[in-house]
Formats: sequence, structure tokens, C-alpha cells
Amino acid sequence: MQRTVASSLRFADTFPDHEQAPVVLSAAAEDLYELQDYPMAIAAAHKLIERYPGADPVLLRSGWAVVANSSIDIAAYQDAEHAYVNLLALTPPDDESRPAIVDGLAASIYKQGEEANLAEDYRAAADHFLRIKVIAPTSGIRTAAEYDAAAALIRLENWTEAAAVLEEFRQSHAEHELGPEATKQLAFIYREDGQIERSAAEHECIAAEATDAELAREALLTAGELYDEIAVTADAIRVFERYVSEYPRPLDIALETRTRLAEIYKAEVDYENYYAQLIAIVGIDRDAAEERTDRSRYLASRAALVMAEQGFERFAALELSQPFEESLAAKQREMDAALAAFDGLVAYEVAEVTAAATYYIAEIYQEFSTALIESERPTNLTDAERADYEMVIEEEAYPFEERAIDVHTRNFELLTAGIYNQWVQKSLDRLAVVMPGRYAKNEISGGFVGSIDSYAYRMPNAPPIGIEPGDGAEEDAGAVEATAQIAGDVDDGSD
Amino acid sequence: MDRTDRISPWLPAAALLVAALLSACATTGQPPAKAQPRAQIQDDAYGFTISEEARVSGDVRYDYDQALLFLERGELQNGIRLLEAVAEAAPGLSAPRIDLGIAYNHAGDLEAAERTLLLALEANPNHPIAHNELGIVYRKRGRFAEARQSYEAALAVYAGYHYARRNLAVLCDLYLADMQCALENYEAYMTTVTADDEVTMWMKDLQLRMDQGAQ
Repeated sequence: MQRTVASSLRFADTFPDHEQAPVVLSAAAEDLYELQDYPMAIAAAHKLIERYPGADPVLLRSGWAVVANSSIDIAAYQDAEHAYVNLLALTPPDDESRPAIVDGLAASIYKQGEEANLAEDYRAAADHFLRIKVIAPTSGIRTAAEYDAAAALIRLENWTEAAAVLEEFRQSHAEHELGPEATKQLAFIYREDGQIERSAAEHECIAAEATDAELAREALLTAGELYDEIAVTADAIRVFERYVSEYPRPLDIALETRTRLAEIYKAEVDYENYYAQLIAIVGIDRDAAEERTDRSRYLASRAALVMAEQGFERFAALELSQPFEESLAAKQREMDAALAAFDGLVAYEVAEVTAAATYYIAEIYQEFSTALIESERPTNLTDAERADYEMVIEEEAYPFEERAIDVHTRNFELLTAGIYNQWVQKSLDRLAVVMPGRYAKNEISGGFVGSIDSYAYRMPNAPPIGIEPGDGAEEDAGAVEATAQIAGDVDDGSD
Repeated sequence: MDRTDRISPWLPAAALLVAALLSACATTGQPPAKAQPRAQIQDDAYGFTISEEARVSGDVRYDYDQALLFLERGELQNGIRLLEAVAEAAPGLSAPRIDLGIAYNHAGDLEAAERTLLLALEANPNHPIAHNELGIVYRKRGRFAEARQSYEAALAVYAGYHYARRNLAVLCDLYLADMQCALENYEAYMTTVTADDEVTMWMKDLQLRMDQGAQ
């Protein structure tokens, strides 16, 4: 074949005006393409096109086709695009080869986009990909190109344009297999662009469209979290409620979501739903049997603590009034219930909650002692009877105060087991009040520096500047000053 | 011969491409170089003086003084806002950040207090006030080992710094249950003051508990 081609080329060059010269040159170009000698094929085809512009259109189309295909094969995509454009111009609208030519044109542009991507010129890549829908709108590759244009724009963090491309993509190709991917990308873009509510809405779409149950679950949860993030409370509640209803497992995530839901209800002063969620959390964890996890136990313990605190509040709110026996019985009932609730919290084996329960148990005893001391006295007592009554009340109250101190002390001693939290500190604060000599020991602060570039420190027992140590009268003066300084510098102890 | 029938569609792995694009990591910049302080400390038997070279404008000095006025009047947020600006303008000086740390502590923002005190120590690693205040913050956050290290760091700069000495004793007494450490530091503290009836009482109580423990 090579000899034939060489002969044909010689013929065309020797007899350029021969009527068969264009035909011979066309055949040579096609043969060279078959022989995969692409540069020579392109040269021959160009010779045909340029030397015989008035040749049979079929020959010219063949020439452009050789240029187009050969250019693709040698990765000269810009030349290929040019050739396809000319080829298309010579192809009748109803020609059956037209769709393939359009696809080729689109492909030559798409490859330019890919090259720009590789060169990290994402702006050029996006422009190439977007040209396809204008220049080759019927090509099969158009939808993917639009999607890839959006990807390039995402790399540029051009959120506005990327979102516009994807929105149009989704609208124009509603049933395209990349539709769900576009929704995901939109959710991502809106989130990055700070359009959190739109991102949340897209995540809801993802959840609705996803055939993968895990993807749907994650998307729904993200939607709720996004609404929550920007305090679109009604939607956050709606989505979280739907989530916990539809996805009771994984257990931890369901309980985390219920915990957040409870917090939202609390912030909304919707205590009915707040407590309903807390009760649900405790119940779900309790019934989870072997599915229970450290996290589910922790969340349930926190919920149970809040419920127990309610019991404490009910107990503390009851005053001991006349008739004494009646109010005492009512308070004792609430006391027993509260103690049982806090005792039950210990079973969760969560250090913080155990410390809280211990603190409250001490507070229950303290509150009962205080309630006895402050109880309403009978009005019909003689002085002697009143004195006896007071003594009995104090004798009854004292052991409860002792127990309160004992329990607070045990709580504070959790420190030796390495447990320190607000409840341990609160027990210490209580102990500091009832046993100040032992526990009221706050840090002292040196106070503000007071000068931007210097700081001078003198020990409290330092003699006044210029006075030698050993002068008793002057040292005494310094002692008063030093003591005042210490008293003034005691840290407020606010924790 | 028409060659257009040879053209085959390229199949872009669009999804893979996008995934790769989205998984690309953001680069992190290098932190800006910190201004290096030029600090001096001079001490004697009764105290010490810290001097830091301050190349700041009169406006910054004025703002610092104004911030302290706010803080002394209890206007914490105004004082903090102004001190943040001063600290930004004078990153090499420790005082604005120490005072910020104290102010944040008083405001109950222990995280910010810790952050600013650590920045103060970057400016001047040998400032006993910064170490002492950081010790208080660590104690409040329940990080007792770090609190101890902070107090000890203050005392390493100046052993007679009575604030840190007493705080270390209290830490050992209440939070670390290290009675020997508590007693030693209470005793050392008492050598720095002419009198402290409260601590004298604590020492007696501590000695009693130590004796009971020994029996």
C-alpha cells in the first residue's frame, strides 16, 4: 500500500491539474491514515483541501475527516476541532454521519478541557467544557462536560458559577445518571458558599433521591445539622424528628440526634417535647441490651440526670409547714424518690454523672436538714414546750447535715481517683462554706501587671525600699502593708 | 471514503474526576514569625524587676492604660476588647497578654485565658505572673499536673514569689492530696510574708491530718 500511496502523491504533485488529481490525493490521504502515518495523512488531506477548494464536496469531507481523526490520534485537539467544524459545515443536515461528527467535535473540545485540567488551568478547562453545549449541543458527551465544567469551577472555588452550571445541568437533564451526583455537588457548593439553608435543602433532596440507604441516612442527618447550624429551628426539628423516627440505628447517632433535639426543644421552652426526648433516650438505651455502647450509656446517663434533677427540684420546693406530720410525709416521699433516682444514676458508671448524683444526694440531706430547721413551728406551744421542740428539731436536723458533709467529702475525694469535674468542685465549694478552715482555700492572683513594659515585685515581708533589714519598727509597718496586699489579691474563686 | 464513522465517544470518568478534585487538600501557610522580646530580669533577696523593650507608640501605651482602667472598674468586656488591640499592636510584650489572661479568667472564659497566657509566655518565658496565672487557670480546668508545673515554673524564676508558693501549697493540699508538698510550700510561703493567720491555721490543720494519717 505504501508504494501505491507514494505513487499517488507523486502523481498528484506531477499532474496537479489532472482531473483525477483530487481523487488520487484523497485516496492517498485515506491510505496514509489507514497506515497510521498521521502527519503525512494530515499533510496530504490539507494539500487536497487547499489546492482543490472547488473539488467534489465528498472529497473535501473525506479530507477534513482525515485531518480530524489524525489530529485526534496525535493529540492535536485544537486542529481536530477546526477540522470537525469544517467537516460539519460540509455535511448535509440529514446526513446519517452527522451525529458522529458532532460527537467527534465535542470530543475534540472535551479533550482540550481535559488537557487544561491536567495543566491545572481550571478556568480554561471550565470554558472548554462549557463550549460543548454551545458548539455541539446534541453530542452525547455534553452532559458529562457540563458536570466536569462544574467540577473545574469548584476547583476555582467559583461557587456562584459552579452552582449555576449544576442547577442548569439538573434542570436540563433531570433523568441523567449524574443527577444525584450534581445534587451532592450543589449541597457541597452551597455549604462552601455559606448558603447553608440551600445546602440543607439539597441534602434533603439527596436523602430523598438516594437509592443507597446509608447515603440517604447521612444526607438527612447532615440536612438537620445544617438547619441547626444556622438556627432554622423549625426545619432542624422537622428533619431531626424524621431522622430519629426513620433511623433508630446506629444507636449512638440516633441518641446523639435525640440529645440535640432535646436541647433545641429546651431552648424553645418546649418542655413537653424536651422531657419526652430525655425519657426516650433513657428508654432506648435501657432496652438496647447488648447494643448499648459507652456513648449511649453516657447520653442516657445525662438525660437521666436531668430527670433526677427534676425530682430534686420537686423535693426542695416542698416546705415543712403545719400540719407538720402531713408536710413531713410528703417531703419524705419526694426525698425517697429523689434519692432512688440519684442512686440509680450510679449504675451508668459514668464518672461525671456519678459525681453529680453524689453531689445531689448530699444536697438532698442538706436541704432536708435546712427544711427541718426552717420548718413552720406550731403556734400553741408553751415556752417550755417550744424550747423542747427546738431542741428536737435541731437533734433531728443535725445528722442530715452531717451526712451531707460526709457525702460531699466523699464526692470531693473522687479527686484522688483522678476524677475532677464541676460536681466535684461544687462539693468542694459547699465544703468551703460549712468547713472553711479545711476547704476554703482559694488561689491568690498577682493582679494585673499594670505597666506595659515593666513589672516590679517585692515580697510582702521585704523592708521598705531604702530601709535596712533589722529595723523592727519599719518591718512592722511593712507587715501591715503585706497583709493588706494578700487580702486584696485573693482570687474570687469563681469556677 | 468517509472516516467520520470511526469517531468514538470519549467516556469521561466525571464522577471520579470530581471525587479527586474534592479530595484535594488545602495547603496550610506557615505561621507568621513572632516578634522576639528583649526582656531583662533583675532580682535580689526581696524581689525582682522585669523590663521588656517596648517599641510601641504613645497611642498603644494610652490604650493599655485605658484598658486597665476599664478592668479595674470591672468593665471586663471593654477592657478585654482594648487589650486585644494592644496585644495585637505589641506582640512582643507580655504584659497586655498577661492582663488579658487575668481578665478572661475573671470573665469565666478559661480557654481564652489559657490561650493568651501561653502567648504571654511566648513573649517572655520567664514571667512569674504569667506562670502563676496560668497555674490558676489550669487548676480551674482540672489540669492539676499542669497547674503544678506552672507554679513551679514561676518559682524557678524567683523562689520567693509568694503568690505561686501559696498557690502550689493549696494545690498540693486540696487537689493533689500531697500533704508533704503542701506543708513544705506553706512553710516556704510563710518565710515570704510577715504574717498570715489563715495559712498558719491551715498548716496546723494539715499537720494534724498528717499526724492522724501516720497513726
